[in-house]
Amino acid sequence: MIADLRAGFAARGFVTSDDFAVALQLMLSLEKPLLIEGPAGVGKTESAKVLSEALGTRLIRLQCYEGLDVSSALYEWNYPKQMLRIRLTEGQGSLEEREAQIFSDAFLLKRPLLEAITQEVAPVLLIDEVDRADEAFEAFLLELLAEFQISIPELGTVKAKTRPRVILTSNRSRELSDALRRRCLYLWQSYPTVSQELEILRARLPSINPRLALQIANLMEALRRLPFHKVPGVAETLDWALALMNLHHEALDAKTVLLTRGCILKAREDWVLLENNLPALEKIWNDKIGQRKPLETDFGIGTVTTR
Amino acid sequence: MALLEKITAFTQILRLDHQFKIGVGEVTDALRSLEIVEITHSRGLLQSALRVVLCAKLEEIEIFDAAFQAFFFPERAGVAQTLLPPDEHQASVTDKPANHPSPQSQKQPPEENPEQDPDFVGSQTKHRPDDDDALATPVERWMRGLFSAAASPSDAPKISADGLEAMLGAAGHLVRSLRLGRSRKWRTLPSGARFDFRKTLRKSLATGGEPIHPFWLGHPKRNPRIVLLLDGSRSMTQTTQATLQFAFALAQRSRRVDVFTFSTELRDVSSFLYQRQLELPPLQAAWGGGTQIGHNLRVFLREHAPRVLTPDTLVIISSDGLEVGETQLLESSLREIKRRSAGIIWLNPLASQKGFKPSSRGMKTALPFIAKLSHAQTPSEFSSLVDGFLAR
Repeated sequence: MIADLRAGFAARGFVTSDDFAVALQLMLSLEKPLLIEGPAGVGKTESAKVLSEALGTRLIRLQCYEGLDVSSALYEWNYPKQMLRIRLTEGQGSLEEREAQIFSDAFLLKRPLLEAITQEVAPVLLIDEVDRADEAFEAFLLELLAEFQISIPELGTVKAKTRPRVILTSNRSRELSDALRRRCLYLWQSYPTVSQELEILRARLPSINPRLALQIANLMEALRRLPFHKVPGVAETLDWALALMNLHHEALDAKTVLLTRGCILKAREDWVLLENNLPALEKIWNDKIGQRKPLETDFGIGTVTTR
Repeated sequence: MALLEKITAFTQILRLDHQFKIGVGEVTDALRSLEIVEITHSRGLLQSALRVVLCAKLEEIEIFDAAFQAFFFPERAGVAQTLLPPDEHQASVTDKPANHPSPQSQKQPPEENPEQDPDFVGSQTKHRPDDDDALATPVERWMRGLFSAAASPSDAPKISADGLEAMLGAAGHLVRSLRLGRSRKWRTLPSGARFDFRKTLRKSLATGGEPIHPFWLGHPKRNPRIVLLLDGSRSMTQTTQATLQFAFALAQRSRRVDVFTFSTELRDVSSFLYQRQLELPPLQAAWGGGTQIGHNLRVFLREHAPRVLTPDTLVIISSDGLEVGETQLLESSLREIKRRSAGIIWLNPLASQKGFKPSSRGMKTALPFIAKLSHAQTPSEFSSLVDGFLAR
């Protein structure tokens, strides 16, 4: 089962670690939400997108922000439409009939959470950056995540037709409550190792020069040890690799790194820090020169010694 | 022991020894997860599956991995030892060395023969040459403290219960009196300077087009948050007690408080204070060693600032400013903290002395970035800490 899931992700260019694959499998089998925490840019949001594709189901996303309320996340009545209906049906039917009409599904604006639990086929519900929402909203989520049902005063309790596969992501900008954590499985997603990053580069950019890919993976690993304001994530790695390929660079050098640093570092202070540390980083591409594979041919010249 | 019993016993250890919040539901999920994951293939899969189910936060992962190794594969790691503080009614970690020997003490037997060197009689001793070397001058003792890498394991910081009530009162007063003014954002409020025409009109649709409930726009009050960075290095030994007690009191009076200690490393101790632990676990290099203020502020900015540093955060740094690292790093870190916070208050215990001048390298570097340089040791001094403080 885990192997199938990994294959589904791999087919979409998403490299999964053992921990990640196990967490996803348990989320699907135990039907519990999965809380993924980790620094920005490690692929938390992307994992939900790829999961929905791998399962062949819909992705419903709720982007959390400070001040997010129930009417933006769950439902709201379509007041203009209700007003119009009241005016058009004035004097027609009894009061109860008219009330039943305007408080029916046709006048309900479904927001992501309600949308997710009223699907015939279980969707993937991504509650993104839940740490940005207020504590009050987090408390509201508890009922939904535990029972997969919500109460609408005018309609009653709406139970999920099928349990959505819920992924919550958090950048730890604030501490989430124990109550929310207890309702979820937990996964800490960190930056990839050199070998994982290399695998990601190969999967996403199959035509990349292997030497360039290795240098990029090594350099990113070294950069993430430096105290940057914004540590470059996997998305930056891919953007940078693509940029270097478009510029027809087959390998890194100091000049290339400086010219293209805007792809990976997005703050002026970070640029300065990179410049200051460049001598220490140069060994990443210089050390490799001596390890280059010798040429297998002398191109027919015969007198040229390449070994 | 059958696997079922083993897993149950393991969850019990996590719950009782390491204070994991594990209920029946988690135990059931753990057992179900073993059916789902083909654990016979790999020990790693078993560990991953149990970790996903039984851990709830990043801090628990390291503890879980150590406990897993100790419980299921005990031949190398010995018995599990908690990294979290015990409950109040339980004995502390350092109280039970016989049953819970620390991995360090097992792996690194003292090189010195205790009988030959009575100054080094095991890890529990508090006897260090820089504490009671009769021949050492005060300056020498201070220098030894400043440059030593870390405290001994027995140097776990303790919060004094003496005068705690008064300190709680002071912390409460500070939290109440800390006002940052109003935000520049416009928000819907019950009353405000501007009429919120759009919202009033929209809400009137629910009442048949009659604007029964008017809405207003105004500037909401800024909700302050406090970050306390406490220098626990040896040079601060005489003065950290009061500040640590104040930090404890602050954590009891507000949930928007984060406390970090640092020496040569930085450590977040907020969770211990929120749990009302008067005895913190050994903080290793974050307590009782040398002083690297700039380095630790940089670590704070990198690892914790995204979570705790906002324009409404008041940053209190308690340190004597005796920096042994690069002042360049201190300068850039303080500049960054100032830019991203409501302001910095620096508590320097030396400032209580007459004729004090901030002439040390660290203090000279810090001065341009701090809103207030002060000192505080008593509850009344702490309660008036924000008097005259102007938020950015």
